[in-house]
Amino acid sequence: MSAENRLPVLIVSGFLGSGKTTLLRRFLQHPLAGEVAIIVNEFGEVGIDHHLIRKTDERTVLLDHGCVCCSMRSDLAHALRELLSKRDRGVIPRFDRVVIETTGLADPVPIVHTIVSDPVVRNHFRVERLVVTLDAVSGQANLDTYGEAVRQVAAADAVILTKLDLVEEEAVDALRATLAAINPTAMVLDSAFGRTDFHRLLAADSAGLGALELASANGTGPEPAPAVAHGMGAVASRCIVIDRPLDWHMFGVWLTMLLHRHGSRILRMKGFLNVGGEGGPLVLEGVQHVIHAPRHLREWPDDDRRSRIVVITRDLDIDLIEESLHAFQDAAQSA
Amino acid sequence: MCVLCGVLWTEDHWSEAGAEEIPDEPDGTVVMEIHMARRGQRLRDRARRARMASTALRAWGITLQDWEGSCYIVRDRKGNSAVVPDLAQVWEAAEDMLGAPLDPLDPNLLAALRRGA
Repeated sequence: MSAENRLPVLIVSGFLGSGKTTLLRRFLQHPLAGEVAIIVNEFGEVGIDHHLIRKTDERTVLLDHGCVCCSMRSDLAHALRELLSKRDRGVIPRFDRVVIETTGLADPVPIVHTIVSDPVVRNHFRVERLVVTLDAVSGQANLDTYGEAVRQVAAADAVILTKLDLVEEEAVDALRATLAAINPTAMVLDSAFGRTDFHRLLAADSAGLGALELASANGTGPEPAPAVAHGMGAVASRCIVIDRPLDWHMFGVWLTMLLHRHGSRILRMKGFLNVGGEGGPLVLEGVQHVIHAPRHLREWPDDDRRSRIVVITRDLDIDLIEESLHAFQDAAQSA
Repeated sequence: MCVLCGVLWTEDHWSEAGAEEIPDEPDGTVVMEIHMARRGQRLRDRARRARMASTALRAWGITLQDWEGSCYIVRDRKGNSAVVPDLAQVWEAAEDMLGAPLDPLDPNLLAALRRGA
């Protein structure tokens, strides 16, 4: 099945009480949602109009030598396969999209890993967006205290700010600054009682590459975000900009080696790579050890032809990562 | 599985993607010329990938070689070897041979790369 024909999967994550279900209910009423199959962790089988809600258990299988982010959610893979099977047999109605609502303490990375790695699932489904709700009342405290909250925000393609009406504007500004420091690639949308700009959230070109555009505008890349002490250590982010075309194969050698040793401390990686040749860049997207299949763009989104990679790390020096990338690329020139 | 040699093809790892895409015909069909061009490109990419990994591991005398486009062979100078499906598995095999962890941020490795560059 071609990439375009695979069914989109929208993952909704967020800390306990941050407004995931409210957002989901509003989304289901929105015309953009289409026919939706829903997979949630905590509810029993309940019918909501024409939508399907299925229960999945938290059975998790840890792969040999894998860390938590590389664990496969066998229950999720089974649920997705069964949805397909029932749809094809006419047992359930056709659906255009799957929404997965995670538990408040879940790390969403194993869900992404399951969808991009399971041999059957990845041929029928694709990750559309990883959306994380963050409430303005307790979001800052959660980020300061709980590693799970930081992990969710760092992995997000989009962050939906909720409960904005309950706090002072200064507190919201501080929360936005924290968000920008943790994950500059995430699209940030405001919401009120679950209502948000769903058109922008699902727009095809809104894949959260904001920091890369900023890198082009600044000429040299955005100022490094200061390392911030959060619930899981010092989180830092930066956009690495490389002027010359990259040797793609040496880049693969370097990145697989880096993820092997430091994958659990690289929270997010996202970028445009100039690997020479005609056409557009290679789009790289990853969370921790999980890297999506690179996509070739037909053309560059702007006039900037440099490679730009946003890196979000925990307790890892991004200057050293950049130095290492350059050393490997230099070695490729003479190999 | 290859019907001639019985080798199981592994699931594609992200690093197996080519730097360039050879597109289908405009009507979506894949003619033999395109199939052969992709096959040749894939084998050239794998050879280049193995050479790059060998360059990264040169300081330890460990090399990587493509085997018939289906797996890679990691070898050290003592005659040890290991078969791995993709780049992600190379590092663990190399660490087993070395008895020490490999770190791409290690200043000694970066210095060795620069000396060889």
